[in-house]
Amino acid sequence: MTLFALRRLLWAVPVLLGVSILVFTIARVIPGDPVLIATGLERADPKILAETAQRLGLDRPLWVQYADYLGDLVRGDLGHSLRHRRPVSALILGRLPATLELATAAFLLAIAAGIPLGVVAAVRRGTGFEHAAILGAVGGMSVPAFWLGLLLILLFSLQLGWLPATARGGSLPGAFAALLTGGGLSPLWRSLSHLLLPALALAAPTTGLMVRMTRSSMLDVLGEDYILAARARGLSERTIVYRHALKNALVPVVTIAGLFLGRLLGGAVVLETVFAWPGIGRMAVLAVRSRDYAVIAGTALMVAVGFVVINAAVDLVYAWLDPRVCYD
Amino acid sequence: MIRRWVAGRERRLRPGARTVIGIALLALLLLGAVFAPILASHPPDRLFDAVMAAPGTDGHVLGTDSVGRDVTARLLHGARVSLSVGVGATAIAAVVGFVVGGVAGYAGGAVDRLLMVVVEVFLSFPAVLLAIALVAFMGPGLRSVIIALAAVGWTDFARLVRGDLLVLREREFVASARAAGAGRVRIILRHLLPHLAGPIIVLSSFGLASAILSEAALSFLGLGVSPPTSSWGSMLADGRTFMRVAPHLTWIPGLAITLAVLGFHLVGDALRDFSDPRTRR
Amino acid sequence: MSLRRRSILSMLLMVVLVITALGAIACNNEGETVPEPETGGTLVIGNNADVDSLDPHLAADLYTVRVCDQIFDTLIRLDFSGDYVGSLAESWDVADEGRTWELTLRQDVYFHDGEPLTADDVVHSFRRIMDPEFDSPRRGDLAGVDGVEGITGDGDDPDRVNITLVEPNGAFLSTLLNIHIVPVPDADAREWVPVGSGPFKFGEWVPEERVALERFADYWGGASPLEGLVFRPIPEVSTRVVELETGGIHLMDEVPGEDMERLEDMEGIEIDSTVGSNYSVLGLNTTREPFDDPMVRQAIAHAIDRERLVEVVYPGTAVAADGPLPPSSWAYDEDFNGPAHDLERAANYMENSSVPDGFSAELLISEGERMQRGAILIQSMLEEIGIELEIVTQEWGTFLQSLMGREYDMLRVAWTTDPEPDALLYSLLHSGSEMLNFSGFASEEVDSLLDRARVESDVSERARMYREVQSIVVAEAPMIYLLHENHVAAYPEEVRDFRPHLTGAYYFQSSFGAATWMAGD
Repeated sequence: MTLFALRRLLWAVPVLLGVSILVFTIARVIPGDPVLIATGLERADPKILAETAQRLGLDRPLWVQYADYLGDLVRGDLGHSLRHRRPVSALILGRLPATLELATAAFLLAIAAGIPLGVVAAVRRGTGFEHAAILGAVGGMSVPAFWLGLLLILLFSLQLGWLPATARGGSLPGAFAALLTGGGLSPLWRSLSHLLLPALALAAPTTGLMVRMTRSSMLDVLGEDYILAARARGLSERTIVYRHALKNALVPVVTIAGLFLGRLLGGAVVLETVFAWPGIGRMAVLAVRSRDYAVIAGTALMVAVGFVVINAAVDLVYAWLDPRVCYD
Repeated sequence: MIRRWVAGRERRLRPGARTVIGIALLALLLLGAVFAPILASHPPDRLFDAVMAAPGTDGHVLGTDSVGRDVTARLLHGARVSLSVGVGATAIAAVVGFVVGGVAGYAGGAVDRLLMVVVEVFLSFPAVLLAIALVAFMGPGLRSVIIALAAVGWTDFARLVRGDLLVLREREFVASARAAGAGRVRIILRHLLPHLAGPIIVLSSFGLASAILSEAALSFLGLGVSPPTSSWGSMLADGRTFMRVAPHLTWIPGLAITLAVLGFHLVGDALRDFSDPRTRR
Repeated sequence: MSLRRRSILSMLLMVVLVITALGAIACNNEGETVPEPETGGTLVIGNNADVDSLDPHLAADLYTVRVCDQIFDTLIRLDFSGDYVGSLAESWDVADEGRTWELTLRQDVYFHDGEPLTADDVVHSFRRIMDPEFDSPRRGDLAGVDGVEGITGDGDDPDRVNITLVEPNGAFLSTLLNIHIVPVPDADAREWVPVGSGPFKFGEWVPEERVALERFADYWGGASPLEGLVFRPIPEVSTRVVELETGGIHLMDEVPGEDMERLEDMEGIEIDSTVGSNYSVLGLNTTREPFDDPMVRQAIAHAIDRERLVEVVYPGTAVAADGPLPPSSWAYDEDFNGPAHDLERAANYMENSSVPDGFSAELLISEGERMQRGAILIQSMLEEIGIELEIVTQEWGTFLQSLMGREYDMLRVAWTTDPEPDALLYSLLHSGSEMLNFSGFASEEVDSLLDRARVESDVSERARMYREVQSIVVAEAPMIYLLHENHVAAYPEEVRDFRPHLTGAYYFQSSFGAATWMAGD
């Protein structure tokens, strides 16, 4: 098991090296001059643009720039943002908590809604309930994210006036800390009220996936020999479903966790813009627009590292949950 | 409680109800796209004087858009664009994925490991950044969107093909084909491809669904197809400025996308159940 | 469940009733007397984007400058009608035939940390921007500056600053609008902090969430009635509007024309707009065929229906342009008319041109819903005279590259500056301006007029020359001036005495006229 874990992590080295090459190439082949975009059309001055590019080393051959970049990377330096004039690591660390908070909330919502619906859909297979649950789940996966976000805002913020439309209402862990130290409930409410709508919009597609996978894995499990044996032993259907089958429904949840994190940034980019959520998704898009190379590369690398680590973890948990997976 | 559930099964709908819905949705989509010029009563690019007219005014069944084009015509012709994006991106992704996965799975060893690193690189790279960067590189437009979405989607196919091949190549019929003197390419195409076709078609169906949604997201970021062409995604993205004054400009393409994607998902589910007898019940 | 919902609903209803009643009382009171400014309240502003930095010398885009303008002062500002008014500089003189600008600084100006503002701070600010190592995006603004010298006043005499230019420039004051004054840093200061002399001092900056500013009680122009300002970045315009309607923000700019009418009809929301100092053009690449033919350019100019473009894409939020000089510029000529929309004349020009049977070309635009709609309209307008356009969209960074490299047939771009005609005209039309003269236009007459107007110090003479440039350029049509966009602000009626500024900047201080304040609350 340990060996398996080690090999799984070692695998990450060439992958991340590849990611760094890919991101570097992609960032640099996009036409557009970061210095020019920063100064804007109205202030463009050819002499100054050339001078600045030279000082920033942007006029050197690409592979030399890449070698430099890799050298910095090995030393743990993600470089400096041209636009913000701050270290990329600081920018990422400043925005990561907001994205993680949103992602965690969305994932929890998806679990809370998806697993029960999936289990019931499996047990009541063939009924109107199953059809409704599956259609609803798949329907949720089929709505364009930004439209869903805007509709939620129009309904819950504008029509009903229940929840604020945009922005983050302070950090959620911070609000919990305030609650424990006697700061009262209002920071928690503030934080949650801002979090709910974007989390709902982000959770929709994952919930759909969760319902479908829970259902189909439940159906698989319910047909297994040991369930039949349990039935033969005269255990009640409820015990069979909840004690024996449900444990195995955890397997798809873990799988989805990996998938979800891989696709997370995609949803975050769009929804963070709609909800003015201060996360890394928005930063990444703005970085591409302003050709802020170090930020593009840093964000991509960070997401890739996260993806690789999480998926390694998923494989490990998977192996632990399902003894049939061999450690090779 | 359980007894009630069991009793509930008596009231079961026809088992294929979801499949029927899915097929109906896709049939509608296909009919609309194919017969767009016949079904639309106006040319899609003609500008009428009435801008943002509500559905039903002056013979515009679904109203007019923000520059005065007939929304019905835009919707029908947009179906072609959205379908081309989906089919184009998925087809390219499937072919690239098949070749890479095929080589990796059949060759095995060092080649396999190297190619899997490449696949893993693309898989762990944030897809949306890759797509945005590629579209920014090539300039927004139909071709760029298709290529960008294919670049994001091919890894799934590669992993699928490789995984299945690793299992299949150990099977007897491959050994006997090899003994009969068949070349590698021939073995893959003649003997292995038929076994892979089912899973590839299933994955394509889901791939199409996600390509249509990704195209909408790119349009939201201003990186979709270029005017005067519009896809459903760009109609929806452009319409959001008028959500309050002309809601039909978002509801119509929004529902169209949702139903089309729903159709691909439902048909994909059905195909999966069909091609994988283990889950067929 | 239904019971609980009903009780929530009835509670909501009660809240609404109470608020309405309170509002009615407030309204009754206001009807009788002109309300006095009240002190207090925090004005929350919905900004399109977060600030890049709070260092004004690193700020280039409007959304950052808007915030920096509150913390820092410039030497000179533009008032609401577009005239220069003293800010940190009380008065200014030109010497040495326009080569030296002598500025007299206002006395009793203090930075937020209590230190007095002196000539040294002004000199430091200039040198900081001009330092190549610092890489300020504003460095190009000061490219024409040869040297800056500070003169410390004795006793009651104010400090003075002399700025020497490489060559005389009558338009130099417009440069000073963009130069924010920061204090000379302490020798032992480790990190740069946003300390300025503006009406609001820095509170906190939570990136992508908000910049909070607090009233500076010792502001030289009088303390603001507002306790503070909060700038919230909300990138998506439709949600920005919802935030305004639900009270999440108190002020937003760039209200879309489609929403403007709706908001105007809404109780309790005010809309105010002003013509901006900008223009949007259809640029023609005169170095390419057939745009090198003036007949073709004239045909295009007459085929474009600018009024229709404004009506469809910018309803109520722009005015059709006659030429490059917007109504907000002091050189604006209200008797000047742009090319009339006249398809017959346009067809005539085409017949006599090098391409009587029409031609096809590419129209390059950057992304954005309004750009796209405009392009579709232009496409259909030019189709009428046999020009077949293919619309090519490029992402902004790429677009800039194509523009500078003249890699296009036709393009649509907007040019935004202050109302100084030199800033509006020189870079785009002078043949010596290699990078920004993207249409490739070259006219000795225009070059000479622009050069002479730049060194001329008599304003009416300058106005005459710029108007002449305008009529030549409109006749030659290297680019077709389409429209001037308005700055349209929306705010709830509690916000009093706010005015949108023609540059899109925000000024809330009384040194600009009435200070913005908030009623009730």
